[in-house]
Amino acid sequence: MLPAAFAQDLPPDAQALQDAGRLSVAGPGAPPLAVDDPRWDAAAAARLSLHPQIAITPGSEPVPARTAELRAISDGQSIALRVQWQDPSPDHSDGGRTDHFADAVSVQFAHPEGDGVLPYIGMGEPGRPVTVWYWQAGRGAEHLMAHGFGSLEKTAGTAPEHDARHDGEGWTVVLRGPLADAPLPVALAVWDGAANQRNGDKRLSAWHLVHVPGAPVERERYGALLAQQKVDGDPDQGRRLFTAHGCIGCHRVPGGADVAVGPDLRLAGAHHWPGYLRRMIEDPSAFIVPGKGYGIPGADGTLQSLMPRQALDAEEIEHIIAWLAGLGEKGGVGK
Amino acid sequence: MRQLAMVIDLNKCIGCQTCTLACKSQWTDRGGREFMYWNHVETEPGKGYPRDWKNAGGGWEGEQLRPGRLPRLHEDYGYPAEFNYEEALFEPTEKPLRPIQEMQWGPNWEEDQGAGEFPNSYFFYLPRLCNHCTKPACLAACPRQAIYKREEDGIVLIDQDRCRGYRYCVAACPYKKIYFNPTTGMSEKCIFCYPRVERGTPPACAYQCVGRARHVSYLDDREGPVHRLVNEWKVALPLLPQHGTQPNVYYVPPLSPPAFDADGRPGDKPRLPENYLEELFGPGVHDALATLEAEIERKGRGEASEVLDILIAYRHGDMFRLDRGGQQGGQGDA
Ligand code: SF4
Ligand code: SF4
Repeated sequence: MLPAAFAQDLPPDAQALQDAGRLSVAGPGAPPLAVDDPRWDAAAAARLSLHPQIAITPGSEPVPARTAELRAISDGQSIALRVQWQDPSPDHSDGGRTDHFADAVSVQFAHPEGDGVLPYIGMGEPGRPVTVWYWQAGRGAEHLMAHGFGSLEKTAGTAPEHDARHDGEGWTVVLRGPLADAPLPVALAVWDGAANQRNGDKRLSAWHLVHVPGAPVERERYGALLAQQKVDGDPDQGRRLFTAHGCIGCHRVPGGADVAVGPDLRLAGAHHWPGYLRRMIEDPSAFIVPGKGYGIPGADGTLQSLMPRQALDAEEIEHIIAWLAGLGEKGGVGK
Repeated sequence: MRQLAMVIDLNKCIGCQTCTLACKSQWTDRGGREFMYWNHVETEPGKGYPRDWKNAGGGWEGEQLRPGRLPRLHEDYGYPAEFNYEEALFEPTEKPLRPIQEMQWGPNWEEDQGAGEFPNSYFFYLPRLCNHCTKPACLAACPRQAIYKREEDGIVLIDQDRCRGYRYCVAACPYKKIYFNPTTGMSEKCIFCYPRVERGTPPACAYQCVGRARHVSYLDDREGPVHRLVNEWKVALPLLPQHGTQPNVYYVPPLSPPAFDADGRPGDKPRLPENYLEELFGPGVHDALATLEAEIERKGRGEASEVLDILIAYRHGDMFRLDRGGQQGGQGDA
């Protein structure tokens, strides 16, 4: 079921998103900054599963997922996002220690212009940059940009305003800044300082859409998002094809060997939309996660993916995607 | 790539820490760097600075980085203490001037302690700085390519605009010569005084060394003291070469007085255990020491010794050749 406030802003004949769990609606009105502003209680909470980043090194141990609650309030001009997650020990970067890491959260925004394609969840990709609001306990918030792993940079953009509180069980952080797109693709990541987490050693969500009521939803963009969320295959056949075509020799999957030639896919469904998986299987060299040795220079000097294009027809690709999209559980929307 | 390199003659270092202060007052006296000593001199044998750095991991194991741990600010580096100046100097009290907080460790904590039993106790001074390695583990460990090695002189630098304070570099450096600045939230290290080097002036630690113990020149400059000591005479060796980073600070190993025998007479064993020196400087240390001894004898007989003349450094200026073309003679005062 699509939230009514979203459905009414859709073009009249638009199909519903297949996985409505990946969309929530912002509360209307002036976005509050204080973590305990009473208006937050009225805003719908999306519960996003934050799975460890295990696909790429340096990454995380395969620790259990955590849930973060995301609430949004927007007046159409700016947006405030409140993230709540469990982390019993507050870890600040307090200037007094060299061996200690701080808790942090980031909200990553995609700008799916043109073709409406969502970028790679891990810091975007060349030509599909992401904006990141990053908050670290004891250091405040930054406005960053990235177009792939290792490319994160400070930008001229103003840092979001921020408020944070630790209540003994976890953090509540509010970040507020200008609103860019609707529906707004966001992804969350949290770092636990006590576990020395930093960089790719983090927990992160998949792309999630936040709709701002009243913001017109462009037909093309919505169509593109729909197509990326759609998957129409048989997971069982997908699992068999994954083995039969040798994918299992390079990617780690549940029940497979401990291989790391390509990214670990044990949590593929928790982090990626089907559209991304489809893109990668159809044209592995269209985007190669940079700096990890996944690319080799081809005859013309451009990087080619180590992963060959498989002799799979469209139907078989859908089966594989259906299987991968089921690896790792997703977050749903609740209140 | 050219490589600017340094030779430190451990037989001439007197442990005065002039180098340490030259560096500190120039680069690290404020802004969260108070505990950092890009250059320091420790007493060997000892736990050193940061405490127990030799057992903190890092470096290479073949082509893999070996895991390392992060030193702690107070326990391993030691934090400069505040003193009770107000109380001791301006209040009517007999209280002496003392640190307010008790210090746990510091860069010179075990000065002159060394090891061994009297009369065969021994120690020597080991000045340490970033080695501007040819295969820097710090650089390889950084997932953001924030660390780079300059083409023109091999100096290893951290781009402060790219560093995000992840500290993989700190763990990876087997010499623990890269520091996290907890105030700025970024890592920092010895910059080989590149702003000086670019104007033909040697790094402050080397230029200020009262012992004339430090030579600086390009490794490929055949006229330079470093090439002659390292490649020709092979009397200068890298520290802990087994870590695989290929350091570019080389040490002339310490000669040793003879150990006293049971009757209290000088015997024929060196007081510094040779296997211990081999652990520090690799197997080349035996030949290096033999060359030095032979050349000292030769010089003692009144004969000429090129290598001793370089090490003696009659002219201060001859110790440094920083001109980038490698043509012109040494700079600095005579
Ligand atoms: S000594 Fe350490 S910090 Fe310096 S270049 Fe080598 S590995 Fe890097
Ligand atoms: S200034 Fe020279 S003699 Fe003094 S401690 Fe440093 S290296 Fe040794």
